[in-house]
Amino acid sequence: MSAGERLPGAIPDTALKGAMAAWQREALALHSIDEVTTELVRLRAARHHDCHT
Amino acid sequence: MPDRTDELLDRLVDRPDLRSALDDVHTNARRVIDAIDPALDALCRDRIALLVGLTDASAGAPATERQRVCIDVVEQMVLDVTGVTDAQIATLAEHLGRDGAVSFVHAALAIEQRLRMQAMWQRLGLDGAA
Repeated sequence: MSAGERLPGAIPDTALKGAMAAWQREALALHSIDEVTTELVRLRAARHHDCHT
Repeated sequence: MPDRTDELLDRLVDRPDLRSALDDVHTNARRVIDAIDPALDALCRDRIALLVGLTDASAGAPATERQRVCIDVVEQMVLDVTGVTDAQIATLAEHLGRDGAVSFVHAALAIEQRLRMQAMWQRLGLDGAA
């Protein structure tokens, strides 16, 4: 569960949140690693972070 | 703990948009943490660097209760993020406000990712120091 979910209604710094979203979009646009490996890494990272999005 | 990530990111010459996005995240993360306490950025970096194996040097001790609360959350995030407790987040919000607490967690994550990236590069021998 993220800090935001534990503090419902809390608003993170908008510039930082926007910058992180932009960086994630750029990372997802990379195609040097095959799709299966990419998904395995994504799922493992999501599990590590207890992320369900 | 010197941050050599800028130097390492210079390798991303063929990925200018990715490089720019990473710089933007870092700049905003530092701004958020500096706004809380100018001394907090170095404390966070030193503690994270120690925990991810980038350095053997002991990290500085928090000088204020607010710093201690922040570093307590950062340590747990680095060691096992799923172990961050409701009580830790509630205490963080008491010191930083609700919006401030969420922003700090975002910023700490950005700094942690950056230092983990540096540690991985070092272990792969890509930073010229391994």
